[in-house]
Amino acid sequence: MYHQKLEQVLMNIERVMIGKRTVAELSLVSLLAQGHVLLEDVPGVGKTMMVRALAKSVGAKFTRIQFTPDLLPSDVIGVSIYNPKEMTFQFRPGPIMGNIVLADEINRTSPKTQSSLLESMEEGSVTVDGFTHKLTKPFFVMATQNPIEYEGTYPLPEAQLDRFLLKMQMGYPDAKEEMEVLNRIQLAPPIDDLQPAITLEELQHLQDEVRKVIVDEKIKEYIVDLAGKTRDHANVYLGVSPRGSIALMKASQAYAMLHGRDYVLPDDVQFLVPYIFAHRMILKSEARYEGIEPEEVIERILARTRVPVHRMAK
Amino acid sequence: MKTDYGWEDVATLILYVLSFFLLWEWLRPVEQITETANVHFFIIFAGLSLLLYYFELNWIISGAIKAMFILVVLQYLYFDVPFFGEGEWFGELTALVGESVVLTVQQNWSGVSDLFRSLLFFVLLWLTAYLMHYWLAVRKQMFLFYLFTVVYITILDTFSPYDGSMAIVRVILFGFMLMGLLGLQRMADHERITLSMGQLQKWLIPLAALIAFSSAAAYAAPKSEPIWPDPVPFLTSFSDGSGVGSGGVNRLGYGVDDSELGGSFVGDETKVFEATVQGEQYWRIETKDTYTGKGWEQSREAESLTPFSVNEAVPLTLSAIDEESETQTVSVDVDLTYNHLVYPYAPDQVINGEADELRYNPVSDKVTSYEDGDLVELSEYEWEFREPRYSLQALRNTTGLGENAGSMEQYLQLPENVPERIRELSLDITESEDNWYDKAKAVEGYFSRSGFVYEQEDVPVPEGNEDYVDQFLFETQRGYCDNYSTAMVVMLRSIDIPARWVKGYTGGEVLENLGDGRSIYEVTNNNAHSWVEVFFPEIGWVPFEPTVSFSNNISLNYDLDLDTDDDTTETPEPAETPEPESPEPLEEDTGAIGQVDEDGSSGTGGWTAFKTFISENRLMLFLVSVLLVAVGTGLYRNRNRWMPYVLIRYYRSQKGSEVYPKAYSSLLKQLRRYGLRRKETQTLRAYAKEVDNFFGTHEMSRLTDQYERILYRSEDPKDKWSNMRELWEDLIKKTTG
Repeated sequence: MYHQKLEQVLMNIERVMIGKRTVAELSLVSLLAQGHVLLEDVPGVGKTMMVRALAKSVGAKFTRIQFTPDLLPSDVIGVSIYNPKEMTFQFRPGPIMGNIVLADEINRTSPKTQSSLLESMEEGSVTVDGFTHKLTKPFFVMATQNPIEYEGTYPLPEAQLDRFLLKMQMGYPDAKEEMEVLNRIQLAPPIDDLQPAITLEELQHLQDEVRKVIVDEKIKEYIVDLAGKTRDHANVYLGVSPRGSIALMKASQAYAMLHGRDYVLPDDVQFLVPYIFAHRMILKSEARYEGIEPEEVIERILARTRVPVHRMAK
Repeated sequence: MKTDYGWEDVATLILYVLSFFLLWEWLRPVEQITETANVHFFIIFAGLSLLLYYFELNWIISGAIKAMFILVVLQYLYFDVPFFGEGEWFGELTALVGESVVLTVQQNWSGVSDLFRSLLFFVLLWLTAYLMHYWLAVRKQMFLFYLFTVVYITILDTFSPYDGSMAIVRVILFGFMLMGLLGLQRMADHERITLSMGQLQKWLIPLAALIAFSSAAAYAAPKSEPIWPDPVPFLTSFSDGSGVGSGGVNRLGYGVDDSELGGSFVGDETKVFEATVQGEQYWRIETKDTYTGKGWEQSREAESLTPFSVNEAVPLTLSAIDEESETQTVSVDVDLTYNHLVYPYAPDQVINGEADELRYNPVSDKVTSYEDGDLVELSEYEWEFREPRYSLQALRNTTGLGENAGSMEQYLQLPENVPERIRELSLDITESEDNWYDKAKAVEGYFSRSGFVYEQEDVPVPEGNEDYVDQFLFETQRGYCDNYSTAMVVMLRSIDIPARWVKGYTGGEVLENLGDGRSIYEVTNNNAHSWVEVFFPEIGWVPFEPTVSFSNNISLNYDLDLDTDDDTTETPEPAETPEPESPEPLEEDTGAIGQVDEDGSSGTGGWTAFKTFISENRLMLFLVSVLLVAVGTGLYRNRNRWMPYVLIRYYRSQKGSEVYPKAYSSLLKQLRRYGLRRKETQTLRAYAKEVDNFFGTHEMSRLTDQYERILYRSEDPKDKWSNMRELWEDLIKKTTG
């Protein structure tokens, strides 16, 4: 039981992306919660296609920044150029001035350029030559990073990772799905025929509505409980910050809305926790040597955290 | 070596300290048991070893420290020279050790030097400390060691002079603390939690409080006496038979061999039989006639036993039968079976018993049971008997044997070397009396008049040429029934009054008063007793009870005044004087009889009626309660089958806003009883899906959806119940199958 309009968006994406329902849902959740997504996957699994489909479905302006080691901050946020006719500097906006921005291979560029993107993500504006330029609304960044290309990369520091609402993997399609991909691409790339399912105004309205989704005290306690346990866990060096708890709550609200509810269930929280907490935790080196992943730790925490199912005494 | 210390290490340190205390408990008794001196060096060594393990010092360094400690202690203990400088002590030490190793290989244990033993003990402690370290740090389990410690302490406490009564308390305290903390560590390990101080406190404080409280309660609470006698004397007496051992404890219940009396009498609650009879009786088993100076034997074997059968008169006459005395019955229900029968004064016949033949031994008065010519042990039988009455006049008229002197020789027997002072004392006591009865009474009462003490323990066995009675009368003046009864027989015989020694049981304790004036008496090994019978030519054998009474919980209280009372009150009609043949405590006697009479005659009191009802319908009540328990258990175990119908009826009648949440909770409980249990970490929705999959429905999901709205959306549950009731009823009915 999905939200009617959002379901159409999902169906739109599914016409292009096959078997990637979870990724589509999570992207939409992030968009609704006004957060940004970090996609970690190998090239060629359809990251770009995914973002483009999403942008088209909501009628948003799509831009793309391909990060390279020599990319400068001005290449991202824009630059002021002297106009000899008018004798003034004119601001030429960079690719960040879009609604939906694909920041491809973000870990291949220098930390300086990375932070110019991430700061603007956080602040919702860019400042060039003393002038502050507001970013367009809605603003949604989907950054990708290649896990295999470690050489010549600048890994994102933990503090920067925290700015992404959620991190996810695309993963390969299975054989049947891949066959279907081939079949569809043979005729014509379906992305070109996509029509917007909702308008930008409607999207912005929905973004406002997300805040009104009811989060019961018990759910909040559950979120805090989970976050607290990541801090106490023996395998964890650095647990989830309160920003992580906020992110989890917001995402749960968006997820609830996507599923046509105006109240959050513990199920929403349970589903989202790994995507939201995993990149915000640093494991101890012993645990990493043992090959323990943050997702495993989260799974264990979930397996020993009581779900609130009783009404509180009034 | 570790450098950073956290709260976890504090916990670990506590663990090591506690295990040191446990190890200490092993060393404490060593000093006393093995007469090892300087145990404190070993204790220090144990502590040192554990401390080194705690700091996880490199094994070479810690090994060197320990070896050095051992060396220093050995040098200090076994050599008088200073550690450094003069003296070839080290060479001597190695030589001694080498020599001892050779001796050990040759299994010449006694030649091994003390120094080598100390060294071995140190090595043993070293190993033990390592083992404890392994248990603590690696296995994180200590129960086995704890159990061994408890066993060790209890065994030492039981079989050695070591008193473990405080040690066991300490072991409990330290051991439980240790295991509780280890439990926490195991849990933290399992869940991969780093212990913080708060968590440590949260665990430690309740744990300590719990242990402290339960130990204090256990320490302060009254403890029942052990049901088994102290095993050491028990085993000794068991293996030695009764009557052997110098000063050892050796009397336990009824025994056959009385040839060497003395030693302590061991209290023993083992039930021998239950007797249903009117009034307390003395239970006779046999008599013995020959006093050896140490104990009692039989003068001769009976040439033949006199056979008789059930419902036939017993060929045993103790005294002239009083025709006025009423015939009574007693049924004896035996727990500890023997092939002899106990009988009251004075038996007429056995009216019920599973033996096809009974035989009477005319020498010992013993009645034994036979089945197909073989001895058989009866578990129940009934006697018909008539309580004898003795004419006081006839008793008092007796001053000599008359014509029957010949047959009484064996009852006047005394060993040749009986000290003369016994006879002198007897003459002295009976000087003022002229007849046998008063003489016997005088001897009977002598003990209590002269301050003899009833004592079961610390009763010596006569050694060498010492006479048992002489020792009791003139040296110890304390003892139990055997002392008193033997002394009285010997004293009477020394003044030519025929007497014999009788064995059996006292009346026992009243278990229950039956409505008809009869009572059930329980006779235990504690009631094993011996007393005296004196022969009066005109009357027969009359029992006497010389043993002084004691206000003791062992029911061996006898009242000597009873007879005198009777004497005085009955003096106007001496010919008709009824003489209670077994002296009993006055209060107990009157009390018991009074109560019985009241029960029998009035029966008006509600409580009495109730008690009567209970005792009359015991079997019935028992069956009913068994049935009730069975039905209750069955209902409880099958509650998931009927509970839904109860719940449906209950919730149909319910109204109000809170019904739906309550009904939903009941449904969850019912599902749990059914076997579909929700994990606490599972969401309701996931659980509902599971339940629906199981039943092949969607009902649970729909019900859950509504409940979730109440729970997480704070919706008003008012109208939900009417909409969801049918679904709910459908689902809950499914769980009855």
